[in-house]
Amino acid sequence: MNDLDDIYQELIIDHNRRPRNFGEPAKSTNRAKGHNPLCGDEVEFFIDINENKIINIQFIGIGCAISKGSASMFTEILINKTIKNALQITATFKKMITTHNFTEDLHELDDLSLLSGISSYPARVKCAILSSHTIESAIKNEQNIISTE
Amino acid sequence: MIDSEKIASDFPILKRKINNNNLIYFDNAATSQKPIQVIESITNFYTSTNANIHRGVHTLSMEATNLYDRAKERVAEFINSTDSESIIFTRGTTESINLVAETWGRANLDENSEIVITELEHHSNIVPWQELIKETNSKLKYIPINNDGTLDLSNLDQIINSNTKLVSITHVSNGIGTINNIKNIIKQAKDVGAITLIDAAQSAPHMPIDVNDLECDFLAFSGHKLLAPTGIGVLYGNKKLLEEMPAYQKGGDMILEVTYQKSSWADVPFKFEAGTPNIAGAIGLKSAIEYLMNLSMAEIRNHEIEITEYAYEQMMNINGIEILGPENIDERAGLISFNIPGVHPHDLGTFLDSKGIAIRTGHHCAMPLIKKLGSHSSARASFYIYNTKKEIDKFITEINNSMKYFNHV
Ligand SMILES: Cc1ncc(COP(=O)(O)O)c(C=O)c1O
Repeated sequence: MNDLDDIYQELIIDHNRRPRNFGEPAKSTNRAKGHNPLCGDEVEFFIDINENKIINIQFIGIGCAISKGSASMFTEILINKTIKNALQITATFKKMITTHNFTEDLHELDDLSLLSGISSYPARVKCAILSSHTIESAIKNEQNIISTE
Repeated sequence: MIDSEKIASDFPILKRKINNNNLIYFDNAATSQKPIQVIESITNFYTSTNANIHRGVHTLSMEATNLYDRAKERVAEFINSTDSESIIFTRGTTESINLVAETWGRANLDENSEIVITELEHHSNIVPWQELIKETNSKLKYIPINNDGTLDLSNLDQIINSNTKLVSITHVSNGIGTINNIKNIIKQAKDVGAITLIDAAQSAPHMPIDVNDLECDFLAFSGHKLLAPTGIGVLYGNKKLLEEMPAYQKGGDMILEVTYQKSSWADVPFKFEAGTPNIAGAIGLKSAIEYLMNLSMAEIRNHEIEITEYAYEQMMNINGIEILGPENIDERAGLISFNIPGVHPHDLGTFLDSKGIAIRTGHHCAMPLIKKLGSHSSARASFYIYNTKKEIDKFITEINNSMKYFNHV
């Protein structure tokens, strides 16, 4: 079962079963919706930004273990980060997911680096990318719904 | 009786290992695998007969033409049409439906016309009509479905009325497997003078089709879902209608006479087959249909009833499972669309793939249907002649394992 455990790390399954920071907060300065029309996954992020810093980040949505697990992990990692730092993290994450044998330093990604195995599952890359796209859109406060297609 | 293990030995791909497991192929509604007989018919054509058709006097061209024409005869026989000139070769169901929309549709619809389809349709029997009604200012109406995914026919005589010009319905739903009682609907359509089109993409591979008995005007299906290669499909059409219809694509092979000023069209069906057709595909289709007819379509349906019932009963024992579509096997083709608690269809698909089992996950090109049934996506297992009860046993075991895997932490 080695292959499978490569993408479904214990921690991802745990985040999928018990998503952290799940639910719509009373207050947020920024929000964005994301949608993967091909598989029906939907996610919405709510971010509270104060003086260029993320002071709260939560999400709601439905999706597979990869999309839900990564959304949940993102909320843990991005909290208390500056906007600049957060956008760096989403950019590095995207590179990691879409590059085979990515060798750059994944230190800043923290637990999210566990998702690197997905780069060998092209059919699942979009599941992982949905959160990072949507978070970027929320930070930039774009009004359109993000789509992976 | 169908001996599925013996049949499986005709399919070289079924010997493949996927992630160190024997391949169990349950994605037949998307496309079927190909037996060696079909593969060889194509190789043989290219090895010894290849030539263009209907234009050469040389031996190879005459042989190729003969094979191509015989392919049409086989198709006619397969759907019990008396006339092989009613058979048009296309790229597949999608092109067959688009052909009708762009030729018959454009010529016959106006702002008073209504097209009737159902809420069960594949996107390829929705989108061409959505576009056509924009061009012609006509209307598109839907026959609704009940919660169990069968058609709600209670208002049929209002939906199909004197404004109805075309009724285009799927025989079997690719999303959830419902078999529609098309004969009754065709009859209602005929009573108001409407033209009928049957999307047989999911039925022609799995059960007997008789256009003579159905009395539909058009019937469309794809070769690749019934053992033939991709890129070849069929549009059956009522000959009289075909003769009245404008041509489809224009160019070589479909003309009678061309001057620098104007051209006249060849007879049906060549009027609709511009350019060099998929000759090897047609020959592959001929071989595929011979393979199926040799097994008997009625026997194929019986085999699928048997394994689908077998799978359905065991799946119903899975705690919390939701199975979409009708319960009654007489109303269900060899296809089970389902969701299990705690495991998203995508994750189930990846999990089963790691065990060598291929299923489809997502919306199965029937987005509005899956939404209407209250889901965002589903997992779909679809069966064919080479699938066995043993494979279903393994499938059930691995579904149970997936629930443990994704819920263990
Ligand atoms: C019911 C139905 N109609 C139409 C199609 C389209 O067939 P093709 O992609 O071969 O044109 C399919 C294929 O999935 C189908 O299942």
